[in-house]
Amino acid sequence: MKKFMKNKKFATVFPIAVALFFGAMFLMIPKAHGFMSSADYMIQFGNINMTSGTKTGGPYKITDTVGQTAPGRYGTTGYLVRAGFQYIYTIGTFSFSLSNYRIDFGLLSTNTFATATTGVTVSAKGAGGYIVTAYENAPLTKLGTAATIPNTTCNSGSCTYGTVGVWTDATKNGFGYTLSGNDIPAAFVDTTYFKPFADFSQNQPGQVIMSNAASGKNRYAVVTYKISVSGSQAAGDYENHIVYIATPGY
Amino acid sequence: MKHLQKILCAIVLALFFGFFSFATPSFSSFSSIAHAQTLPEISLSISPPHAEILLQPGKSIVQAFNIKNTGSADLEVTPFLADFTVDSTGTPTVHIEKPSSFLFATLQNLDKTLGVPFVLSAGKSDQLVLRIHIPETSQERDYYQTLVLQAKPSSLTMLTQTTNSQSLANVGVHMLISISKTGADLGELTIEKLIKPFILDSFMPLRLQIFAKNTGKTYTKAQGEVTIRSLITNRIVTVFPILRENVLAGGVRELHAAIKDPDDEKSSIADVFIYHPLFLFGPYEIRIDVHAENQQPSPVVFHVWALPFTLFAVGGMGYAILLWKRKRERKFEENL
Repeated sequence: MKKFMKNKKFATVFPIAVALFFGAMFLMIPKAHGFMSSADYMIQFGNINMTSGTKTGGPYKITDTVGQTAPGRYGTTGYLVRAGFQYIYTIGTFSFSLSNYRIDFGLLSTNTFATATTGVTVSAKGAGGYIVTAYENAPLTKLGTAATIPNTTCNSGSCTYGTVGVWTDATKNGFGYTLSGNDIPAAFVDTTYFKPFADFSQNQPGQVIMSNAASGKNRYAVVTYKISVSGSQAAGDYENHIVYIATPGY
Repeated sequence: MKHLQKILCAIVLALFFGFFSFATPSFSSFSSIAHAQTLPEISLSISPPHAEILLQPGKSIVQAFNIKNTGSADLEVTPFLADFTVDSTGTPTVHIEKPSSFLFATLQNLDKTLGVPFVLSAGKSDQLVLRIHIPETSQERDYYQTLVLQAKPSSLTMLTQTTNSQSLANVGVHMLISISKTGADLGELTIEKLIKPFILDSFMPLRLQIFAKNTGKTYTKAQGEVTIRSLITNRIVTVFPILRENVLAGGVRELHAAIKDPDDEKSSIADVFIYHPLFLFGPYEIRIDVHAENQQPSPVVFHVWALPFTLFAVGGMGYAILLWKRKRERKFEENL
């Protein structure tokens, strides 16, 4: 035995054999599996007692790994996470698209309407409905000054961020919008009905432009912006931001 | 021959100048292209679309959200948390304008931080790994949060010499976070508002709108059913199961009937409470049982009458016409 131990070949082969044996044993033991990934690697966790989930993408500092993106629910002592909705079997993806995000009215002529449109698409399949709200940060404001193009009050002078009105008279100056397409508020009977955006600088709450209590795929609406200015409007470049917020149900 | 030469010469010249005009962008064509160009769209997707998290003080959890830039423009994305509240119908408002009241969340990604923008290239996916750690000393309460992704094109250039509006897209997913030592559902539902007819035409649909209020301490899932029974036949004519939607603590929500999703039999989708047979007649008993998970049901029962007013009206009109005809005939006979 001592002879064997002193044998150089034995000294090299024995540890390798032991390592291979335990390696094989380790491989034969059934165990939970999973994966994580970044651009270069992927490790997935299955139903390991304390952790579960699929984490992919960039680098993380993983101090504890409890969570899930998989369907269903799970819990252990002290926490419970449910992803998705209890009444929807498959966890869906919520997506939101805005086309033509930069609304350029170009050079404006007095008492003449200029219009532009943005397409809004929402897919909320498996997301328990959805809602899209919109507001403006402030009225269209001339750069570097306090001069503004007022928000429309429509033909009657009475439409507000909360109520629509017919706006076909270009001498009633202002800036507003109308909606057409899926899941829009019923008040927008046709595209002659307008209202101004809720003005965030006046603490006006964002208004619903699309909503549906049920799930939907590729729900599409068009926001048509309209503007007309008076002859006394100070010449210059006017700007503002329209903020859209899209969320699935809760 | 001369003519042929002239024609050939003209063709060669036309081709030359034609090619030249294509190769050199004139001011007019350039400016028209600049106005006609289609801007790339802002398009973002996020999954899962909803998360419910219940945890004890002192515990931590991690929730991963997969995001994808499904548009054609590279986006500058700023992730942040915002409170959300609901109005008297349950419509949520996300308060992106003020800082979140929930201070126990961080991103576990080493290269991302809440409130700090990062670039998500067109067509690329990424993952936000949100870690929530509740301190031992935290009070038991609910937090209603939205993970918002504020997106704008990373190459957004400001326009000059023009009046314009720039759109900012915010995509969010709601998270209902409950800090609880016991994990018990402490929701209590009451019917806050009920829109119902007392009497209706036999040909009209029977429509109900039910708004539930959660007077409990934690959010809860509405459950129960709405039963309609004909008191003439004493038979249940329809049952609407209530969709298990969340009602936030202190909040009101319009409830919906649950129907099978035609695209996914294992799932339910929201529907309105409408019973619309061909003909309704007589008194109907409507029983609404809405309750939370740990709440004893206490149904609301009322009656609705359906009468054939349309038939009465048509019959009345027919009778009036008949009377008028008879009167006319009598007058005619008298004149004879």
